[in-house]
Amino acid sequence: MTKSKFAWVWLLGLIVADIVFPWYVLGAVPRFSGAFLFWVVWTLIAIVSMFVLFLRWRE
Amino acid sequence: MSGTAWAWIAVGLYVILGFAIAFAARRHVGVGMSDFFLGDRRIGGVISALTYSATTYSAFMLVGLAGLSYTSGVGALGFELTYLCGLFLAVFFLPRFWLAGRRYGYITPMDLLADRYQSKAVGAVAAVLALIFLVPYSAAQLLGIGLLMSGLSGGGIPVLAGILVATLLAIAWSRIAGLRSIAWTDAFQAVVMMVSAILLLVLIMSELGGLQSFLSRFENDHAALLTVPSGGGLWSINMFVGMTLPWFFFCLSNPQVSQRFFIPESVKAMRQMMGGFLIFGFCYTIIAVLWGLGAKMLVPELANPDMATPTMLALPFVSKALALVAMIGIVAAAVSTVDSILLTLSSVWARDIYRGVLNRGASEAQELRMGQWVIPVMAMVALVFAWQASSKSGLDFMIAPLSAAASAGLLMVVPSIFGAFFWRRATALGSVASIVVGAVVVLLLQVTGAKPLGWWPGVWGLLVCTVVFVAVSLKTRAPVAKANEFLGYLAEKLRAGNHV
Repeated sequence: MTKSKFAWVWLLGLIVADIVFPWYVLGAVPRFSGAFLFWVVWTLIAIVSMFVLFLRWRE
Repeated sequence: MSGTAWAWIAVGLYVILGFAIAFAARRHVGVGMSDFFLGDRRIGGVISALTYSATTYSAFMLVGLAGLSYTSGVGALGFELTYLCGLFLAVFFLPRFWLAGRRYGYITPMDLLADRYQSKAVGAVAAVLALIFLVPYSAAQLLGIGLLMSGLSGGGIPVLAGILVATLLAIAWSRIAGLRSIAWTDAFQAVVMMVSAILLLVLIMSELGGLQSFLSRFENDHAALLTVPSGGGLWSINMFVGMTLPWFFFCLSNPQVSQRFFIPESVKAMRQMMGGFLIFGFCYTIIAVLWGLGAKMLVPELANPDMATPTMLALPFVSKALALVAMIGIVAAAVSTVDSILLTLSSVWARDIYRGVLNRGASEAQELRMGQWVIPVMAMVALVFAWQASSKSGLDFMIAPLSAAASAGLLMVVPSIFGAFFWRRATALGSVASIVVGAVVVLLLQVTGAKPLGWWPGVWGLLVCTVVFVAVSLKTRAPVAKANEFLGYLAEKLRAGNHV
């Protein structure tokens, strides 16, 4: 798999997780350690993966 | 001195400083479209990141999103963070826009589409789409300012006065030095936005007994707001997708944002723009949501959730000075978005409609004058829309749905952008048909309030628009020579630059 295809698949995985976890896994956890924490961690993972990709850009 | 007088003084100081920065930027202005609308493509990384942040984040954040968090809880956090992660698309598209912009001299994203599809009609149709749908989005920003100033002054400042001040500032700062005055004032405003938001958050948390106390008290008092669906089923998956989908593609669909992809001076500046925005966006989102949740603890029974922030700023524990700083931070957020939209719309009008269709022989000077002329016209249209919206109430006229509805319409250009960069077979007719049909679907659903199968207008619009784009493209002739040259050039440069 090329780097580009991998990045698209990774993005797709993030989107699926964005729906599956808050609604189907954490729906019965009415605490900050539930959907709130998930979305914070999910975002940090997405941001780190973006940094990994764009920090390789060269002039 | 009354609260109203202090509010006007604070606004006055902000205006004076903003004008000083805008006029300082004017000293660097050259001539021509690229210079006025793109800062001659020589904007540094830090300023690029700050102007991208200030343009993207608006009154919606600390008024609309805080209100949405207040009323619907954690779903609002997911909604906004999903938007932020939509910037993943920029990992693919930012270098493509930037490289193509430099090689072919594009001024607007529609200019790129028109050239890639070898059809001025594509640029013009996409331009009209932006002109139609960015008006309610601008109006939402203006309305945010009006509500805030009115709320903070206890009604002493009428909503319309706040709307008017913001409109005049947006016109002035976009006219003084084009992108340069906007980028510089945006940078100043981004700093004001972040500092004021942090200061007030610290105060709110302190009032609630510290972060730990806030977390445990909130879990006890409002546990239902920490799951989805919550708030009486408000965050169903349909609503989440309906609101989030347009925002996920925001960096592509909104021309005032994607036009920023043309401005960094170097690859290093591009990296700084991406990184800076991500950090800013993450912090600002968390702060806005915590503002909303904090307001739920402090003033739990508000009828209009959009008043959560203004009401909180008027509470006794918030000093007058800090409330004014926070108010200026929100005003800055709104103005920095509106003036960027106005500048982009003026460039779109000039390049893609006036020179692209109405007067193809126009000189660059005529084109520039035409672009500058449209700024106050669009501003006045947005002002009237905001004024009308201010007299309504209920979910349909809350700031968040209003903004999301606008983005749903702009979403219709996304298949054409994907096609331009990733599909040689994409055609001009496919692009035009998809934008027109998609926009009609969105407008019809928006006006009638219909949600077939429970799905929102943006979802249906994007689905129909994508099908039409593919089907019509397959039935019509693609500009093969241009596609090969355009995509071949990009492929070579992307490989060399280690892009994905």
